[in-house]
Amino acid sequence: MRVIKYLMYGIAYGCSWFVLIGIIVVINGNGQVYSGTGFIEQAVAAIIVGIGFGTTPIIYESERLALPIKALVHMGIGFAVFFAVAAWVGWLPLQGGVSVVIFFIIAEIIIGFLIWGGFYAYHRHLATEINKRIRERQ
Amino acid sequence: MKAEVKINSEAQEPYAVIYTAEINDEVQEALSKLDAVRGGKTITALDGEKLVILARDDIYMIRVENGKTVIYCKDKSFISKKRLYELLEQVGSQFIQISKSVVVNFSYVDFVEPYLNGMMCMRLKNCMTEYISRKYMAEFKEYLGIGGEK
Repeated sequence: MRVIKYLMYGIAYGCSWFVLIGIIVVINGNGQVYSGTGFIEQAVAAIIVGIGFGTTPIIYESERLALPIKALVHMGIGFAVFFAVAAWVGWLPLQGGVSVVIFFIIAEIIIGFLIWGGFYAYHRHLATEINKRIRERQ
Repeated sequence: MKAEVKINSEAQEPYAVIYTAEINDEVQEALSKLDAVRGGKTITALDGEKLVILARDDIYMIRVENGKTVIYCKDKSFISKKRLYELLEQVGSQFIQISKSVVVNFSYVDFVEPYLNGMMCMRLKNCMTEYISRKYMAEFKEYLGIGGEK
């Protein structure tokens, strides 16, 4: 049941990112706007990536694994799915040559870890605040 | 139910004993009424076949497991015939609900720690752990006065 719940989170993340990036592309007016099967392909790709990053956080519920291992599993699977999908739907800038592709991959990994770090910092801060209030009230 | 009252000058406080072949609704009802006389500070629960009376302060966590309401004390658990919401009404504001199926005694909360799936894990002073669901997180923060609600 929990897996289904996480799967739904993943799909929701994928759809949200797809819509957000679609809006940005349309506002900038310099990106390719997809229609027909191209639209479906892009939407499915976004959902798969969403599942890759959004479903794997179930690993954080494990009490046996250390946080760095959990993060590695989460991000490792997430990026593996992302780059496989990117290669499939043409998100990798192959026309720019090897150096551009490597730059793209490194940039994506850095962005991914920055987002992860942001979430972690927020939750860490919230937990600290909650623990402080717990001690005050007990 | 038959009742008998014995006057005993040596008894320091009134003490009730119920003789019964089984724990039925009538016995539960009688215990609830006796508990009400004491200010409702006790909870009845089953320890195997034995009916025991628990003080609110002895309870760390109440959790619904496979349809059964389980009351956890420091190092022992008991089964209650009551539903979670009924017990929550009985135990009072010292207890908080942290998910659909879990209520904890705030006095025994040790700390919370974050998981990056957006959930918090709560650890009690008897080392039990439980998740705070997203739905009840806002309520918990409000209880603590976090988030501008208070």
